[in-house]
Amino acid sequence: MANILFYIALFLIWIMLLYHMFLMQGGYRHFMTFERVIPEWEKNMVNLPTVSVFIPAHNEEVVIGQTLQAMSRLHYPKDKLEVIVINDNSSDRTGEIAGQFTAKYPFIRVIETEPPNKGKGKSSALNEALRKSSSDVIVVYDADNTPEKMSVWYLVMGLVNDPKAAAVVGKFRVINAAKTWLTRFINIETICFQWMAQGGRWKWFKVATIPGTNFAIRRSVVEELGGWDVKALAEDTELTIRVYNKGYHIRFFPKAITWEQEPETLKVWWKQRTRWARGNQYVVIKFLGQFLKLKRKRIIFDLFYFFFTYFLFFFGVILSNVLFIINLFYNLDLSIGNVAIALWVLAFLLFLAEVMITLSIEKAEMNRTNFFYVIFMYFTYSQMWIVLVVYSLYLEIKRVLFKQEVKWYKTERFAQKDKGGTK
Amino acid sequence: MNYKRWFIGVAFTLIIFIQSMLIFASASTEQEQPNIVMAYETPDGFASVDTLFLESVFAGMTDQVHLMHIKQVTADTLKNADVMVFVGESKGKLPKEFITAINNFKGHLIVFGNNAEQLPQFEKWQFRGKQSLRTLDGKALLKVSNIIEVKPPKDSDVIVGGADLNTIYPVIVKDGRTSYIAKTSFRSEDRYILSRELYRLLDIQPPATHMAYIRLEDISPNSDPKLVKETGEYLAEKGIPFYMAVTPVYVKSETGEQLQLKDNKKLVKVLRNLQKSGGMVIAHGYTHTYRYTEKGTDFEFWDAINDQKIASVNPEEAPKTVKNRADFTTEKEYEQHLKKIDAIERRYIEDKMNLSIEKLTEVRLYPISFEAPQYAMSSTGYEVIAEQFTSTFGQIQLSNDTHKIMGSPLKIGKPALLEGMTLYPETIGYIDPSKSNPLEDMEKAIKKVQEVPGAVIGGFYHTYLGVEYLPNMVRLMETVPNLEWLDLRKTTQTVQSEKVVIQQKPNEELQVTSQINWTDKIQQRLKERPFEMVLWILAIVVALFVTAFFMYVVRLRAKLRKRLFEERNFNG
Repeated sequence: MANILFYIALFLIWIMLLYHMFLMQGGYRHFMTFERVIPEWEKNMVNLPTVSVFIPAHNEEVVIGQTLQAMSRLHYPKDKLEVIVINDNSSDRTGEIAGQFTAKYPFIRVIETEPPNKGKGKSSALNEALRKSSSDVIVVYDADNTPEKMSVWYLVMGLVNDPKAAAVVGKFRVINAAKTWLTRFINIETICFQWMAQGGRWKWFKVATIPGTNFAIRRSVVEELGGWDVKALAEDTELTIRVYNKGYHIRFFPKAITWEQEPETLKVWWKQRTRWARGNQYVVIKFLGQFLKLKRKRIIFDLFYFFFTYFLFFFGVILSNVLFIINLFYNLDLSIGNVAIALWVLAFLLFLAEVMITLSIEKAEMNRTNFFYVIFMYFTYSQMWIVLVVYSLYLEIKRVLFKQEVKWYKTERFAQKDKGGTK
Repeated sequence: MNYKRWFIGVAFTLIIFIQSMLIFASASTEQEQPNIVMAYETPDGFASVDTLFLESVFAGMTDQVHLMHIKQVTADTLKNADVMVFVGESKGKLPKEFITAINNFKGHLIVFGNNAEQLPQFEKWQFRGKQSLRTLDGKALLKVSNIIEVKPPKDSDVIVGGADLNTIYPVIVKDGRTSYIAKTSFRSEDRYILSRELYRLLDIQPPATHMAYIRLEDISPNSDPKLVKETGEYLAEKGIPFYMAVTPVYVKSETGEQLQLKDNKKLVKVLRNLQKSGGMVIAHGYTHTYRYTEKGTDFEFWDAINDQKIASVNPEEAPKTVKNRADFTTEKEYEQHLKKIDAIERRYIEDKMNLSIEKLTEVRLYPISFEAPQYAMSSTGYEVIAEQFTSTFGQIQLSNDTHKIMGSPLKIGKPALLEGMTLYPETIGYIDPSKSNPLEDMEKAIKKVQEVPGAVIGGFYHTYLGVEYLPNMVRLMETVPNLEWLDLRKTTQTVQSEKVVIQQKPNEELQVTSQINWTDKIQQRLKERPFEMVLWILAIVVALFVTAFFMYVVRLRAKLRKRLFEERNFNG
């Protein structure tokens, strides 16, 4: 019995690890090749589409200034660009600071959300802006983002050259990476996520996820989909699935770069990640049920990925940990031999190698400090994930069992006020 | 000068003397290896269980026993024979040709049971029908034993007698070169008497020594290395050569899971060390089970549940009963059926013993003999084993119909049933700690065995008992005068599987040639533990990727320098 459980755990864990290994290979290849098309693509950058940059902002006085500063420097014909700050029910100086920029730069404007969209959250705010604008392309940035000068240019370049792409997604870097140990971990994590999950999946399956910021999407597609889903907690994942279901794809084009803040304290991190985890669990349950109805099967990979991440992989890890602990006190007589040790060592090396590749891709990230952080990360940050998934699963189960009202978006929103980011 | 010549002269005569001694010695041993023809009479032409046992007893006297049906006996077959043995199991008329051949035979004639009166040598004997004995040779019998009452000629020698309530009857009688034995079945206690008296009947000088051995029994991957070590080391330190009956795979009956010897590294190390210090390995089957749901110390080469020979490689498909002659309309169909079963049994046993030999060799334990689990095996099984081994330990199964008919001859020999293999018989049993006196049975057995000249004092000891009873067992055995520990390193033995040949020549190092290569090992492992092999393949794939990934890192870092340089140019 213990043997069977052990093998199940091993199987679940290694399916996940192998998939990531596979993604890493794709991510690396994508990095080596993605820039090759640019000279060709540049030639098509005539007759550019009009672009609206949406910046949903709810009490963002801390960050909105520097964000708009960055926006003002964007490289894009100004007659075809407008930056829209969506001031959603802010009670602080957000509107006032944004106002200063509108005076200075004619392509920046501020809109206020109106009922029924007022104070309902990011999706509603985006829908409001959608209604009040008319450009061909919509670019979304979170209020804490400082995009690099060329980012919008490259996002649009992707759309212009790839007619099947409904959206183009860029990559982000962490602005406060060196601030605390937590931001260091998050920095490493996000770099990995982008090159493995985004880059790898794009390379192999032509699948990427809209991350909530630093992406461009065609207005026609958004309208076809009926705007953003106001009920979705992880509005980005939700939107991604719907886009694929319509037969489009989402291109990962890491030439478009933005910088964003990451939680500096564990408490904020915890709240943010709990929301993500619950949001993704919600998506898995929602779409796995209607799995067969999905027109585009390619996205099934993604659903399975989430299913694995939040349910099976996590179950495997818990199982193997439990077996390990029981085995300390009571001999379970596990028949597996040295191969288990070899696999454990390999799992660690794989983790190390994958993280080191992604860090090496980002120019200066592969340094000695980060090397030790990576090792440290395996035993700390990575393990926190287990606790987090258990907790969020508990919350989700509780919600379903007690049929609790889904008011989570707003609560989470307040929790992140001091940090000023929505992701 | 004179002195030198004298010395050379003495040396020369000494050499001649020693040489002639040697010639004499070898001549005398040749004399003690009589050529025996043993004939039996059965309607179906096959030797009976009793005959087979008698043959094994005679095999303890000489390597030259030729077992045949009386129809095969002619004057020609008897030309080179020193001894003619006839086993008359049922009353009937003997063929003329046989009687003629016997008529001209001048060697020793020994007749068991019926039909002696038809032979010319027994003209003066009177045979009077059946009697039942309650004692034999002065000892009470557990079961009544039927004999033929005989009145031998006056000057004959009644060697052994037996009695019913009142009367004493002759049982073994010698009249010059002619002997008569009044019954044919000697498979129980009476085998001691027969074995003892054969020397006299054949006018052979009985040997003075008793060979002895201790076999450490049922060593498997499940054995406790510590206990194996302490028992083995005890014997090694006493300078006693000993035997280790090893089964390379242990099957857990609860789960069917197989433990491999190579996975019990401590045990392998212990066994290897013992092998160096006087322990010899006996291949004791491969898994010790036929059905994996049976206990790990069960029958392997006999279907014990149906009490029949192995009729299917897969135990779950084993037929409830092997069909017999009556189930077939023609003899030909029956024979075909038997052939089919035989082929299955052959393949099964051959494959398993190939594996056993190779598994043991893989961990550098080199078997030089064989022992069937529970001693159970059909005659077909012995044929297969004889192709792989030159000797076997234990007892012999005399019947192809049940494992319950076992024969334990008392002397080392080559019974016909074993197809040329030498049998090192087990004669004194084992220590049973569940008894109030665990040594009692063995003590009794030793007393009986040592009465028989040249009989082997062979017993076994379970290593799971630890060393506790072993010193007493050794002491008990050593009470036998002229005891000599059997050492197979002083004999010639060959063990071979498909890929391994192990050769023992007298007093030489063991020669092992193995053609097992790593692909065989991997294939084998894949069969035993497919899942683990898959995991190893996974590990290799992952290791390759990890290596590739680290190379990417190096490449990226090299590129990074270039990239930074380019950017500086661009900015500058």
